[in-house]
Amino acid sequence: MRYQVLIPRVRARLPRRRRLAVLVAASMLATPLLAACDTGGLLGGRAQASGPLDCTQYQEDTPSSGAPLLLMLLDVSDNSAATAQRVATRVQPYLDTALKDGAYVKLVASGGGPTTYSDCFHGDRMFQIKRNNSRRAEKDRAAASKALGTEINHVVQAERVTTTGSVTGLLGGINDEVAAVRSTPGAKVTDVTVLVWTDLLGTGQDSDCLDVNGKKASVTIAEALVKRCFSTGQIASVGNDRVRFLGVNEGGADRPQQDLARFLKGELCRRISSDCS
Amino acid sequence: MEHTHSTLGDATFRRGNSGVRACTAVALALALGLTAGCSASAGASPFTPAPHAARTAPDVAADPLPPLSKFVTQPDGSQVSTVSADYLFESSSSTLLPAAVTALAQILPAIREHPGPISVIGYSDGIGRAEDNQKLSLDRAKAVEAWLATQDIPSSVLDVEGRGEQGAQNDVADASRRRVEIVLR
Repeated sequence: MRYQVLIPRVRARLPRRRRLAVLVAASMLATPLLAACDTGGLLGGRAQASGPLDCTQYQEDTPSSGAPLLLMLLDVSDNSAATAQRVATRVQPYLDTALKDGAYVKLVASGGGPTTYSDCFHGDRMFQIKRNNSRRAEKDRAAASKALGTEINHVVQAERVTTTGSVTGLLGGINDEVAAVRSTPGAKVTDVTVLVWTDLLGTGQDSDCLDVNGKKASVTIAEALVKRCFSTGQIASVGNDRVRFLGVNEGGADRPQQDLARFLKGELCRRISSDCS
Repeated sequence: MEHTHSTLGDATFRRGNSGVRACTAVALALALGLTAGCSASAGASPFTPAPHAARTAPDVAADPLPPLSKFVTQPDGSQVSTVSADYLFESSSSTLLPAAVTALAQILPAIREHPGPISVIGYSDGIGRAEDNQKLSLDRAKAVEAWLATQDIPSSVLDVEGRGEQGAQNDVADASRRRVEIVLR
């Protein structure tokens, strides 16, 4: 008797339940969007290097004393996943320092064509993870470091690589890139560190001073090539800005290529900055 | 035909029941929402890599010239062999490169045969601080001396000297100034 009374009531409520279920289902699907979750898997991938990673979550206001600038220049001669991981790994310690101490971070890449800029690493706001709880800060920094490392990995893999090219344009643009950050309203740059990922094995036009195709692996040749870079204004000294070359002889170059790349790095370092390695 | 849900076991969660369908829809939506939207961390960014491509490797010829010059007799009768420091060391480093050993081995026979004292002298170019260059040139000379010692050249006949920027133009990068001389006296 009791069931006879209850069952009709339940049946009567079913259409409303269905509507409710549809509503709940729709809200569940919308939740990721509203919560700014990564919807890439649902909406499809994007061809851009920098996806929807919200880099502002890793940024803070710059203190009145200013902050250093980390300028990352990626001369992408190979956009494979392995190379991308290598690049990300090599720059990771610098990102970790930036997240700990605070730094503007700017990334410029080139695969031989026009230079591309990262949507994440503009250089206009300071990256830093600050928390009152030190353990929380460590955890959040680790998470941020991982996410930003992945972002760099993606920049490399998304870069369109041409058969010829060199690092000349990126090196020649350092002063402009630094000046652009310095002139950003509200930005106060203290010291500058320039990371240059390159194998220094450029190819292309004869006018490119770092085109090493057909060259001999000698100190004299390397010296002459780099002298020409500076005398023609293709590359200029960056003064006391710190320059770090990453990626030289870290790939599968043969012995003459390795020798010439090493000599070139030495020659470039002597001329481009008083603090270079 | 009804199949009781194995975990819930409640009569209200049975297939064929509209309430069950409603709940299943909610559960599916929840799962879909989570896996599609938030399966990866919020920090990960979806992207499509560019077609894989690599720059054509340049054709670089090996240097046919030996990095070490032969011993040249000087006006005072001593003999000197000069090697570019760039062949022996990384920039600003005083650690011998593996290839340096091959280069130094070329002059080892002449050194072994020499009965008198042997000087190892380091030089630098004019880039950087003079005191740093002085130290670097000495450290490099010491590195060569240390290697000679491992080749059974008695340390009693070896002396080292760092001459830094001597003879170099200030603030000028000059490969010819970055060198190590081995002098048979």
